[in-house]
Amino acid sequence: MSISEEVEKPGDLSLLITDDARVKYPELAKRDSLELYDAVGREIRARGLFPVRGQDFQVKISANPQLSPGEKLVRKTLSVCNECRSLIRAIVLERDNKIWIRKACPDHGVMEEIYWGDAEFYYKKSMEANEGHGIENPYVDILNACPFNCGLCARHRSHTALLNLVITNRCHLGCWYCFFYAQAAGYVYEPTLNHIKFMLAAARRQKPVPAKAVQITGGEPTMRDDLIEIIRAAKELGYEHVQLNTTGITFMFKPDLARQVREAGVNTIYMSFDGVSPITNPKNHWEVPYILDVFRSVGMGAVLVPTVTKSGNLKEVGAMVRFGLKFNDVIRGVNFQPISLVGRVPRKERERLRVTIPDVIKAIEEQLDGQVRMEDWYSVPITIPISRFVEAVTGKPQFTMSNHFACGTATYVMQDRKTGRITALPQFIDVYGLSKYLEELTEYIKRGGSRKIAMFKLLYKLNSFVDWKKTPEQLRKRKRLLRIIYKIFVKHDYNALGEFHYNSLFLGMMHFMDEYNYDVARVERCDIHYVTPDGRVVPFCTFNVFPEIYRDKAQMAYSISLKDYLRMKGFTSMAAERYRRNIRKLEAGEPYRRYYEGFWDPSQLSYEEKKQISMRFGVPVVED
Amino acid sequence: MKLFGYNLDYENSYQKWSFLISHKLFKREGERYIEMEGEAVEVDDEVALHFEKIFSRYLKIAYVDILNADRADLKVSVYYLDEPAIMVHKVVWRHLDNKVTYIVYDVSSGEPPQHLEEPECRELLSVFGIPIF
Ligand code: SF4
Ligand code: SF4
Repeated sequence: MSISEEVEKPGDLSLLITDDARVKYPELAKRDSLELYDAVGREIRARGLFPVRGQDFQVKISANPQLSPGEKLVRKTLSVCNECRSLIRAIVLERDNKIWIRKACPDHGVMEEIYWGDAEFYYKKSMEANEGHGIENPYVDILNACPFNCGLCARHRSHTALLNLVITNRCHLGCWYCFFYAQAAGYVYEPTLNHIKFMLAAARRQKPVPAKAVQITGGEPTMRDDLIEIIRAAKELGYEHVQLNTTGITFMFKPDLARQVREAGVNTIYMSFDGVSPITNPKNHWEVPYILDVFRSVGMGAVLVPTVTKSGNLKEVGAMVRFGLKFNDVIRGVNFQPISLVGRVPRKERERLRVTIPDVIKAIEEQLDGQVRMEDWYSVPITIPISRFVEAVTGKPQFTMSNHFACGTATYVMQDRKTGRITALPQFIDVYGLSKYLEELTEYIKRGGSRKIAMFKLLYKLNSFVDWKKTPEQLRKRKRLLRIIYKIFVKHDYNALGEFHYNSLFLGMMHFMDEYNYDVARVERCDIHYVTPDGRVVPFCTFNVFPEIYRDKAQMAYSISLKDYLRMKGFTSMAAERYRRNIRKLEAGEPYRRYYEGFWDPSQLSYEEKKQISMRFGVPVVED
Repeated sequence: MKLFGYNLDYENSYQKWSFLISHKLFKREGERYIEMEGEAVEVDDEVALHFEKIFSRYLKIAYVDILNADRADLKVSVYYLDEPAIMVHKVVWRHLDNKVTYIVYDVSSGEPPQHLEEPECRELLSVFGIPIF
């Protein structure tokens, strides 16, 4: 009798779990039942997958950080020690018109890190903070201090706005900084399709608002042969928005896969793009033009995702916006991510690399000659009055983006086709005015006012929030903008948002945290989550900041060894899966010139220099 | 058994929430429940975690929210007892026209606390001869 036949009741789960709390994954996969994935998940959590105090983390809140003369206290919070990563006390303070976080560890002393590079902007954005729904049915009991109790637990304040689903840790690149991909980690994590269904269903269980948007990620998700089935499963389970996070390189060779992905239900590709030159973007600089051409041919939208560093690509943020606008027919957005410095990064190195949200926004303003201003950016929770208003009208809990105001900001920009002038949405829509008015109407309905009258009032007043003289041509024609807003508020037709997307470029900014700037007040509101193989839902900034407790611990527990994977596949090494770049061929193609013309002149570097850049980054180069 | 009771005056503009929590602990002596006096203690990690276990589900606040709040005055009492007892925390929701609710639990039962409206709590406590406050 095989182990899988023996496992009939929960008591037998021991046959699927080793003494050191690892799953015998081949056996579990053979059995492949949703109930069993659930039962094994619960059991393995009880056996040590869930964080254990003293073993996985420490709490040391006996020391209090102090203010120095000339500093102003903004608020108190909790953070983690840079050295021992224990939970410790912290203060957020203002000095020299900047916001800092200072923390005190009883064992490792006082430490400080920049939090937001502009105090005035911080205070303005704090006015946009707003509360979401949280969750009514926590997944785990409160056993530990936050952030060592994920999750989600009863303390958590945001439901999932975007769920990340890791479907493999295999990757066709080998970026030098990544320790997560299979070759570096030494194991392969690749849940079965049914296991993935269990995970997707787990995140849909959230009340009052189930997860509605999922990002399929890796490793490199296109390395799985059953990617299309996974996308279909997400759609069937009720995910309205499915996006894929990829280097895009696979689509260059398999354009038909892009079509299938689109047809299966992926609306957007999130694609790494760190700049317009190979120096700033060694990862996929040469491939991006070809990938974007494929996306255009199948009607797929892309959001470019640059990780921004002070010494690296901060100087190119304006160019990246221009690039997005120039190819706005296929690029729907640029989502900047100021670098998160997880792991041991010495102070000097942090100072060289660190940028915060206001720094990037200022750089964009400077590099675009003031066309996208600092005041054009809003904190993500500014959208909550819209959700509340729709909620009041429909009587149904709505999706709210209630992350902490300091986590992310966004805006929309448009370019006038004739003049080339760039305009940001807040330059022609009074965002505060509209948001305040929606709050008033929501109150009116809550106090028993008629929904119909509220809608009527809104329609009557909408026009007064728009400055038509400043509205770009494409939205001014036949008052198209009003029709889009009407569809969103009156018809609750969120596809209208898509229509808006097609006429503009979304600019987003999210600063994922690291241990140096960690703020527990932020993470308890996090709305970007991961689902773990045991069925928990874990905020991004605990999953990735404490990989030894969450990401790696969970994925390793459900993995198979690299050796077993190679044997299964009949490979001798993972080299067979590795992408090799042909720089000469890529640069010779027409798309390369078409996309980069005006952004980057390839003659600035010799072939040898380019080859070195690619190889140093981790992508081998071939010549024929 | 060691137990914590909390008095908290809380105002947080992030949540637009404001409430006042007070508490009383009644221990059984023979057939009656009588109110106990606690000893004041400083907030440490045990106190903070205990707070979250009781209140986070009902009040949507964690210890970090108390630190973050515009105004938060937290006073904690500790009780040591071996006999059955009932802990009652009263919450006056200032941002909801001073609506009152109660969080009640039997300290030795291991059952999770109940979050009750005033009439239900009055009825429950009357079974034990405990007056509402
Ligand atoms: S981050 Fe959220 S889920 Fe995790 S411990 Fe904190 S409150 Fe709970
Ligand atoms: S992922 Fe990090 S930065 Fe983004 S909302 Fe969550 S806590 Fe904030």
